[in-house]
Amino acid sequence: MLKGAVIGCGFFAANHLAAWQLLDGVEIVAVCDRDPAKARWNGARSYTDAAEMLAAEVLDFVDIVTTVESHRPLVELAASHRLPVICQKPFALDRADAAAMVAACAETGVPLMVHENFRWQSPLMAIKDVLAAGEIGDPTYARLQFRHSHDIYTRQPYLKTEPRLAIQDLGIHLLDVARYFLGEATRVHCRSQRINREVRGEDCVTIVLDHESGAVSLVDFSFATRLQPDPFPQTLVRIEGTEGTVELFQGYRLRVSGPGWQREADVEPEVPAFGAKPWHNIQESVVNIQRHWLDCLTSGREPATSGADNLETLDLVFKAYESAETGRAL
Amino acid sequence: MRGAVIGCGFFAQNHLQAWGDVEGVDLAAVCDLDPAKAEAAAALTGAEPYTDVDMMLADQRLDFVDLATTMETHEALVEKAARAGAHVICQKPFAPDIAGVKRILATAEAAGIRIMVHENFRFQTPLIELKQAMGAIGEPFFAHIAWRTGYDVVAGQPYLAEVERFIILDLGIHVLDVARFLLGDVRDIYARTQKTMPGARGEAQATMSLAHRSGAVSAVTCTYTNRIDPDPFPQTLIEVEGTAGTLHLQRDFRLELHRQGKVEIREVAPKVPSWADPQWALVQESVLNTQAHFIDCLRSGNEFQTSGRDNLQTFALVEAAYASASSGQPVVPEA
Repeated sequence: MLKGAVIGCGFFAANHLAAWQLLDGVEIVAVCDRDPAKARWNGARSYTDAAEMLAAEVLDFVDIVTTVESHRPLVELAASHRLPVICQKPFALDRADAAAMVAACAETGVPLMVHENFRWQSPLMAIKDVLAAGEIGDPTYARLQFRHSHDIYTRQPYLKTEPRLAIQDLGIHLLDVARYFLGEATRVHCRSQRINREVRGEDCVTIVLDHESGAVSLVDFSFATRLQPDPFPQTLVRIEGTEGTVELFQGYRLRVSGPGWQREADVEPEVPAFGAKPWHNIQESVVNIQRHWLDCLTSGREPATSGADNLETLDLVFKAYESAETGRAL
Repeated sequence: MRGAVIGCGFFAQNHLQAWGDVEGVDLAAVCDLDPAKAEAAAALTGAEPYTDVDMMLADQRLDFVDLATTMETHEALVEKAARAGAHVICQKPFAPDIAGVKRILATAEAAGIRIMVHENFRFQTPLIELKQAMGAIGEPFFAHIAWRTGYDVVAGQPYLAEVERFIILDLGIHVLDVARFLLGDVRDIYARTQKTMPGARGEAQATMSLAHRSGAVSAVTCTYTNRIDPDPFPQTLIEVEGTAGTLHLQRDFRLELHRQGKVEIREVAPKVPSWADPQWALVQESVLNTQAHFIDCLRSGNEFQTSGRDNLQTFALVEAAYASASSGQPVVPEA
């Protein structure tokens, strides 16, 4: 039985905790939050200070579910205790912090995984399977979109005042998915807009990526798009290859076709026992990535979204902001 | 009004048929270098066939000429029409480059003839309906305009395989015009191109991001190499998002208006001309609408929606798109 501790027990951490409970071979023995009222979980010991918790507990890993400013001190703390660590996204606000965390874990030889869960959504994994099977040939073009106006601000009020909003909060996932599907990007161009005047940061973004493979992708997302029914939190995808096209439509309908042939599949994720629609897509991906983490700890494999891998996604995030600010492609 | 069609090739068949449906137009003459094509056009329309433009212009008193030839010939033909005092409707692309466009405009202005570009996409019924519906979505801030097909365009127009500037000049020019039609003029454009068609010299795929002067952004994409079933050719699929609602023009002329927590769906199919081929009806109807608009404006004196001057802005976008694709940086269109 692997023993873990969760640091940060806010809004999204509820999914982590519930997912750990669902998984076999793991037990959350301690939880930590600066707010004592939040630092509670079924039978786990409660802490308000992470250093105190790590000094007192015998652990196999820690799961950091705090906001980005606290990541570096907490990851370094975990590394100093030689503890494998999972860190929520966004991993860091700049490359220096991200690289320092990767280095700290590498020096002590502990695994570091960024909780980049979108590529663990089963509908997106189904697309990856289509690509891997060669069903559509070599991809030349992709569009990844996430456009909605679901109220994300009431339960995460800090989002309203973030100077950097949509790219850092959501675009980061889509940029990671673009890498997952089409490989590394070599050029990024980004335009950002602020549509909702009640928020400080950008809430509508249009990104064009060149990929090493020669493919081009369009990555666009918005928190101000009025659609009925609202597709939140679904990522809609279209990838065109030399032999065919794969499309993921609203309602989790997957369509693969080419001249004279087509097939459709319902790829709606299951609703985890702790979950509810429309969040099941995200909740299932939390279970999947945490299961992957346990597999990696047991087998010694490198996590798919290791800290080192996530440096590439973060680099795209930083370049997207720089491109939007300067009006240049980078 | 007496008119003549110059150039009786592949796409000109639509022009020839459509003139028959525009009220008050007498198609007096048709001209093609190839006598067989000129004869066939004459047989179709009852017009007088010619293989020599000068002879035709000397013989006939024409109110207008319709240039359905390739772009390299437009400048010389507009000069001839200008000397004959005939107004001109000219197929797109207007000219091979923007300098040529400017020379054509100067020629027309000096001669006092009017010139309209046959930029027909914005005359498609679904696009007219979409534009009208935009009043219901508040301030538009984003559009996605996609024209993606695997239809073999080279089979009907083999010269397309040889051109260095392929899809942006041939098709992108239409969707860039649509972007201007929907969201207004453009501050800068970023474009990526890909040579995805084996055997074609130029780019068969383009992905463009436009910043409009209004503050809106549009993503405009086109390809001739999409392998998909069913193929939506020749439909443009469009999303326009505004502060109060969203419009989606989906496949098969389904227009969705998302507003105030509801969605309204309307069919906005083209009215099919009697001579239309079902697969081409959308394009063919827009040819008829474009030509009817030309005649209406000649009669009323109103400005053409796609006047030569207006089209200069679209052409500048095409040039800027190519410049951006080669430099890898956004480019400000300069008309």
